[in-house]
Amino acid sequence: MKRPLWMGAVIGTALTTGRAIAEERFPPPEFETGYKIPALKYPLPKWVGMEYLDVALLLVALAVGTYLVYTKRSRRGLALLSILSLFYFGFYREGCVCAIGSIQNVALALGQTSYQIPLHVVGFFVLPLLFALFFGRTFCAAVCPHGAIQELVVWRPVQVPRWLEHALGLLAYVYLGAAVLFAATGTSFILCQYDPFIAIFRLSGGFEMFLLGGCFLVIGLFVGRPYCRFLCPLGVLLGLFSHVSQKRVTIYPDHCVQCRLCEDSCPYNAIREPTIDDSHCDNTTSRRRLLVYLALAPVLLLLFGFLGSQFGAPMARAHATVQLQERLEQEDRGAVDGTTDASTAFRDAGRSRKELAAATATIQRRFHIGGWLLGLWVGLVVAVKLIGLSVRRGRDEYEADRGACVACGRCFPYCPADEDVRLQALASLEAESVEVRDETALLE
Amino acid sequence: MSAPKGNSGDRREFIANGVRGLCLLSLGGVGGLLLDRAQADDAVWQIDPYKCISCDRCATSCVLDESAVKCCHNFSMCGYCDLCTGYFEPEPNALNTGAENQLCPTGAIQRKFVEDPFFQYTIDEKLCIGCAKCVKGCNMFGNGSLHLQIQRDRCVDCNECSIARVCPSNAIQRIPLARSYLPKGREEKSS
Amino acid sequence: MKLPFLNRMPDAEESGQRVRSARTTAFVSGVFSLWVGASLVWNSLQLRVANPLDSVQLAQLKKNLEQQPGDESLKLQIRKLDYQLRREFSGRRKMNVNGSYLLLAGLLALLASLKVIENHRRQLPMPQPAARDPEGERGRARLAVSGLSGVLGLLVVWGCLADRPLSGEGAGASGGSDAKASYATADEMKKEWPRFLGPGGAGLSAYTNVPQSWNGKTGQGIVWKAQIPLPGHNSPVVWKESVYVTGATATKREVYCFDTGSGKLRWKGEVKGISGSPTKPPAVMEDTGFAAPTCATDGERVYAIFANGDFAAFSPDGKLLWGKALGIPEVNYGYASSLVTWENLVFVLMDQGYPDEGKSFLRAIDGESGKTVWEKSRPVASSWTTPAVIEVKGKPQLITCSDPWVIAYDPKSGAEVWKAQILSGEIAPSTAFAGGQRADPLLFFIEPYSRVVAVKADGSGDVTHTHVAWEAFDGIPDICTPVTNGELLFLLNTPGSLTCYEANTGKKVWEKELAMDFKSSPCIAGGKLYMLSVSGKMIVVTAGRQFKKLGESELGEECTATPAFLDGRIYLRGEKNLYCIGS
Repeated sequence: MKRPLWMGAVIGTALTTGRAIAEERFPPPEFETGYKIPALKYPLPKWVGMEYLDVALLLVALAVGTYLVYTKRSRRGLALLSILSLFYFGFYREGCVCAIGSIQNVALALGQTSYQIPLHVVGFFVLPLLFALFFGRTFCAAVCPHGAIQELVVWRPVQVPRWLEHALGLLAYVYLGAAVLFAATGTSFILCQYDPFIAIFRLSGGFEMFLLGGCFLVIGLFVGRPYCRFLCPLGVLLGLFSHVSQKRVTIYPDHCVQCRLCEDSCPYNAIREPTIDDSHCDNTTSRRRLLVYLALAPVLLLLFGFLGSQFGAPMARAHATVQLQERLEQEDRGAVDGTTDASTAFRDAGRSRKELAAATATIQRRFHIGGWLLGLWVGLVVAVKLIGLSVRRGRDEYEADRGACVACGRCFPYCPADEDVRLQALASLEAESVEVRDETALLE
Repeated sequence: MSAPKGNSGDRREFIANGVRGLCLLSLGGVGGLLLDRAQADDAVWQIDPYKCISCDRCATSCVLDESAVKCCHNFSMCGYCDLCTGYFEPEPNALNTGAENQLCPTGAIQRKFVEDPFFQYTIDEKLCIGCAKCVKGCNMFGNGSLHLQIQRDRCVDCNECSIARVCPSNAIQRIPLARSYLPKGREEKSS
Repeated sequence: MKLPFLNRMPDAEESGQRVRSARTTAFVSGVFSLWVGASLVWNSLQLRVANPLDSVQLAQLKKNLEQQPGDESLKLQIRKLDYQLRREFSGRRKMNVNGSYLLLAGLLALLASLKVIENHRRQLPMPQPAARDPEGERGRARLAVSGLSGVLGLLVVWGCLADRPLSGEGAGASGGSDAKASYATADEMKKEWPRFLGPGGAGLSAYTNVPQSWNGKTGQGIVWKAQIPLPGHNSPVVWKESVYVTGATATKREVYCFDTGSGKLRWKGEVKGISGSPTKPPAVMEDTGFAAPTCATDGERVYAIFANGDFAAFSPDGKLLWGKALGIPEVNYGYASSLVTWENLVFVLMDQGYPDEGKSFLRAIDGESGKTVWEKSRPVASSWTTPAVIEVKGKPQLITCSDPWVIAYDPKSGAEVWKAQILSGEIAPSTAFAGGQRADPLLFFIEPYSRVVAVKADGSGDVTHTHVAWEAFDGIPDICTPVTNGELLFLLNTPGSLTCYEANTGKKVWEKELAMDFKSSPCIAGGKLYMLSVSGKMIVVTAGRQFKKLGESELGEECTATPAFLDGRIYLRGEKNLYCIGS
């Protein structure tokens, strides 16, 4: 096997360190034939104004959605808007940046001053919340592509038992807290990493991402909006805001006649029926229970806070810097064989171990504090939920739950008090009895 | 019965108004703080070629099936070597364009004779998968004119770049859209 | 979306037809989507499991070609397969893209038709007076919320517990080594001569009463003289009542312990029976021999290494504690780097081969157990230097010098503290540095025949361009390590020119031709500079700004080893004998 001599020479002159930053080993030739050295060309970036168009369209969509919910009370219009939003924000703009993900940008910007948040991301974060503060969750209704895709796949919704709904609803709060912690520490954007629908919007992505999205959609056929109700962290914020919104979504246009027709119309379990008179119930027991929960609340907060702080160290492991530091320590100790690309790159770059150790300590400290805050947050949510579940609230009409209602408008056509509905009903009254019978016969 | 209810309704309304005001204030506060730190220009992801260690994660970790990262060639840095270590296998059988000699798994580098003994190497972007095999070869033994860049026309601008997440040398960072690229050779090494 | 009783219904026939066609559409699009989806899954799994671009077959063919470079048919075969594989790759990729569009379309059709069917199935809402139990419902919800939060809490506890062992392991390991310090302290070290070039490797003696004149021929000033059984160029090491030297031939390797009082050989330990010890002797030059590296002691054990890479530890009473074969170092002339101890660790520097071969390494071994604590691969060529442990701003650094890198490591972990690419050639002189503590200690490195470089030791990362304080080019040694008292730096080269520089500035103060050959390194004791020539003459001069000769003593035996300077005594190794000089 002959190895060209000059090849050996080339390799002989190779860098002694592994760092692959070449110097000019072979000076660029001086051409005699008049050959012109081509210029370095990179493909031009996409249009710069696109992001601002997105914010403008978001504003328009929110305004149209609000109009459809409150003025037109049109379920059909909302469905159409959903489809448009899904195709624009989802399939065309491929889902990034979305309002859900913008929570993380905001957390990162607040947590690390070095990060400059793009202006349009601020828009994506603020606008839906602002609308929620005045009009409830109109963003969820027909603007959010994540909501829209789930809205459109609802096929045969089953009612999730209310106790399960309450319990699963906790997950979204935990997810929100974790997402903020991981983003503020500059660890990762877990909402983006585990986003179920982004792969579907892009029609590309890993097999696992498609699988996750597929699972959510299949569940979504039978359980309305599983992501929105049990996981979406923006849903948590919007829900909290719409609790105090100026206007609220109502099932009826002016007043409820308690016909109960809408009772099962909501696939998202957001309709609250009027309270029955249960004054015969033991008031002292419930009052005592409330007192116990109020007393327990601080204990719960501290307990979860402490647990969270203890969990800070394991969570810090998710940060690349901490991983690198631990890997280097293990390599130094001889606890592991060989090196990783990251540890090799670190050593070759000649970066200071001291700085890395200091950075690691900072991150770990942040996770310790962040763990406390996350724990306190979860404890607070649990305590408030338990207290809320121990208080009886009086209602004498059918109402949409302010936090849970996504303003999809599915209940609107069920309400006979609606003028349009009444008119249409009158018009079709004649045919009704016959055809419903036909209908059932046909299906058998 | 109705009188106390009305009262409680009013009270609730009053509280809701107050809380809404507070929410609005805090939202305004956060928004203001953010605007203070915000930049009008969007941030996009780009590879610092001076930090890149030419692993193959760019080829496999992008959310796009065909990675947004591709090899670019700064001709003005190139030595136009006959034996290009970015083009040829470490011990090529012969210095010709035979498949047995080529390093690139997709044959995305074109080798064209310029004048004795110089050859021009051009990347066919359609074929490049961003595996960095040629970049590694060029950096190890050559001038390092081949380098990876995120193609700004292909990148879908994920909020968090999934390649950056796995990059072992932290080479992928956010840069202002106005810059778009971190070219090799023409500018000073970016900090 | 629309309720049958709210809108005008289509007539029965029309709606029946619609449902029928919707069912057909649902069935067809369902089957289609299933098929597309399955083939997409299969396709992406295929790409993952057997990526055409990583074809084993192609790699094998290329390997075959390496063996038969002239085989034209093999080349054709490679080209054909390569083309096929590339086609397959791009085909699969295209299929993924098109397939996902098809799947999307199929699923949309399926969903739409399913919805049509569902709309027609929908019944009138028939609210039944339900027996609701809001209090019970709230109770269940409370239970569920507490249950889920309990589960979350338990998960976190489990996460913390599962996480513990990892960090606990590290804490346990460091706790174990703290339990019993089985090594001498730095202060104890300073009173002895525990290694090549004395405490820390600075070439400075702690004593001022070191003898200045003697005569080997008449026996004047010679306390005792003892024969060393096997030859070796290594230097004596002294710990309390013991003087240690080693000796070796091509086949035999021994460690000797002499009594400081009488010169009696207290014990000799043979290094043998080490598993993996090379059967063939290493190729060495006579000037280096088989026992050039000086042994080292931490007070509890004495460590020795030989030219064939055999490395062993003995107890102070001569018991072989452990031994290991590191393999014959690939070093021209023969292996010569001496051992160094620090706390519980012994450091072996094995710089060999060329920088890019990755053969050079630095290994830290736990003295008690003989286990490797850490090991660093070094991007350097062969060297014949010995590391030194210095203290910078209260932190220890292990300094190594070689071609081309000078690298400072954290002796505890082996992490690189700083490095500088400043040397080239065959590096034999080790680093010189002043004892004591300064905020930014200067270290001096020798590039043989070429230059001396002063480097500030308080850097981090690559300090090549930032921490070089000065360099000078006169009187550069090739073998002898220079010595400094902090104020002045003394360079002694083999042909005997002695050059004095100002340590801080690099200004040459004086130079003097001694007109004799030197291989042993100069040392400073009590403000005097001791230089032992190859002929056995010890020249003593003041270590000051003026050259002033204080004495010249003849031993009468050739000397290449560096002596040990202690309390009123000098231990000096000649070609065959070990001398104790004093009164």
